[in-house]
Amino acid sequence: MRSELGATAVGRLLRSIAVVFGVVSIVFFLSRGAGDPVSRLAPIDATQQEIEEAKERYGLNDPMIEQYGRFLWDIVRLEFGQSFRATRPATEVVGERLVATIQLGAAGLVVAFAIGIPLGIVAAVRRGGVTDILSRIGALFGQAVPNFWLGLMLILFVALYIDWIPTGGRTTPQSIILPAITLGSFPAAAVMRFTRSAMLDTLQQDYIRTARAKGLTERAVLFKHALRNSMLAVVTLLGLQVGNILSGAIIVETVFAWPGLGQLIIQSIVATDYPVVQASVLLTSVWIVFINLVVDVSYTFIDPRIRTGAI
Amino acid sequence: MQSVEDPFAGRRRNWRVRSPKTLVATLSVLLLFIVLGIFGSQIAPEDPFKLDLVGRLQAPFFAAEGSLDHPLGTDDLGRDTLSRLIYGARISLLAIVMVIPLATVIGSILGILAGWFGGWTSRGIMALVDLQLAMPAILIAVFLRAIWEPSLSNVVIVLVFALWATFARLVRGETLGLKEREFIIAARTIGANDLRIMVRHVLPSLVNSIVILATLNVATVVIAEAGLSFLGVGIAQDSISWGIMISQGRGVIVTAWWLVTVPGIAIILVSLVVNLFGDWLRDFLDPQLRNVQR
Repeated sequence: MRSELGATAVGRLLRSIAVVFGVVSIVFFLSRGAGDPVSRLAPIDATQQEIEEAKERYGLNDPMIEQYGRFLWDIVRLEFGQSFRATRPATEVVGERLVATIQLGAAGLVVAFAIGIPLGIVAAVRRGGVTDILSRIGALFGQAVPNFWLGLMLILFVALYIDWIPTGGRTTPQSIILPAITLGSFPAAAVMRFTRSAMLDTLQQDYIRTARAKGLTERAVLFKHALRNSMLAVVTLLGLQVGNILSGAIIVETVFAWPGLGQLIIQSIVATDYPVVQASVLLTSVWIVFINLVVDVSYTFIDPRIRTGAI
Repeated sequence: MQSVEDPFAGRRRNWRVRSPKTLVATLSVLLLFIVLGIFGSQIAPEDPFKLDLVGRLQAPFFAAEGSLDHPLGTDDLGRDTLSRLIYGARISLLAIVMVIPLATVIGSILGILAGWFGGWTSRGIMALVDLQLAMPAILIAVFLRAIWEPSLSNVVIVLVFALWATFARLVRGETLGLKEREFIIAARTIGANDLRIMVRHVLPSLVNSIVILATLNVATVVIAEAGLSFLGVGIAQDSISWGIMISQGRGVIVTAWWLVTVPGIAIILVSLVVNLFGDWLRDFLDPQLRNVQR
């Protein structure tokens, strides 16, 4: 059984590597399709000859397949080259922005789970109660409201009524409040619904009745027995959200002028800054693939039945 | 509180379409949206491109200083918001009509092939699904924007890319379940070939789930089209889309709140009724499918 587990793990890992390979290949060909960076970035008074020399220097005149091969080899060595725009190593540019995105993403997730889990628990325990109905109506609207629009509405409200919260940029600690709420509110609806249905499932189990029958307080039943066992579903969801939060962050960063990775990617694609695009998209997709891998593995630790193939 | 059965079963209808009245209301809004999308140019009271710099930034009628000349006010170039809103419905409708069938057909074919043949076919197709999941669609949109001029076809490509995998996963899962059912085994026993079984036996059993999932993805298309156009990577900036209206109103959000608010409400309304309709359809066609992934 142990070797079987090992084989599954190796298989998963190979699959993850294949996915990352696919993503970087797509990125390579899409960015080559997006245009010729030298002509676009060259100073206006550059001569045709200077442009040709620069192309030669960056290897942009070589056959596509050769460029592709060199590109793959560079990635294996984690060598992304110089940013065309900033004339600094691409990894350095990406690294600076990464911090801002991680802050925003983490804050968004905290908002999502801090709202979603308690509401989900209350909605399940007091099923049909006010919280249940209100939060389900909230979830229904949550699926219909575009998050960039919600962000703009928050800006409008704050600009009119609350002067100590900035509506854009990343200057003071309060700057993160609006982007984090915008980013977190949609996952919050999903977390709420997931927690609610997981709790409802768990509360119907025989062991919950047993726990009540042996005279445990309602509190102990809910928190020690029901909540813990409902968390498997929630952990899965956390994984999905950690992966997804980046796509949300791209829009939110644009709305709030938050200087993060998402904004950087968009700017670099528009400016045909290949090295930065490649480094940041690779980072993004490795991140998503890695998170999915972690979720799969953590399943087997939280619920041993998955490991033995019982479910 | 301790009771196991749902005390609200059967009368839980506050937010779902249960009564004929709510269904009629939902369908009316949906119908209005479709009519505006098709006949918008005949219905709109004014030319949505007509500039009127003197009458710019007029408030909607329900605001204190508004008038009925421009029921939903005008933008910073004096264009009539109501007319632009009506024209904007067309892009949303077009996006739905193009994206949903394409994503549904591509995803379902790949899903049924993966489920039926298994093995390397399945592995290959599921690798494509993984690939899609690892690459935010919005990045593809930005790349396409850099390659081609912005247009509706960019939006369609991006959204089909973003949505097909959901269908593939659902259809593959259900096909796997069907494979072991007696009627499929019987069809195989009497010598039906793979194609015939897939088309004549597996597919008809999946139609309900596929239709439901397609309906539930309509709102996603409306919201995503608006989002891409808002970011400037969707349709061309000089055409009219609700997302573009929001992005153009951004600069004057504090003085002319309606320019951002009104198109947003249109998006929400359409998404809401489509989702309500999808929920109703799900309950109607297949009550067991309550947990289908959206």
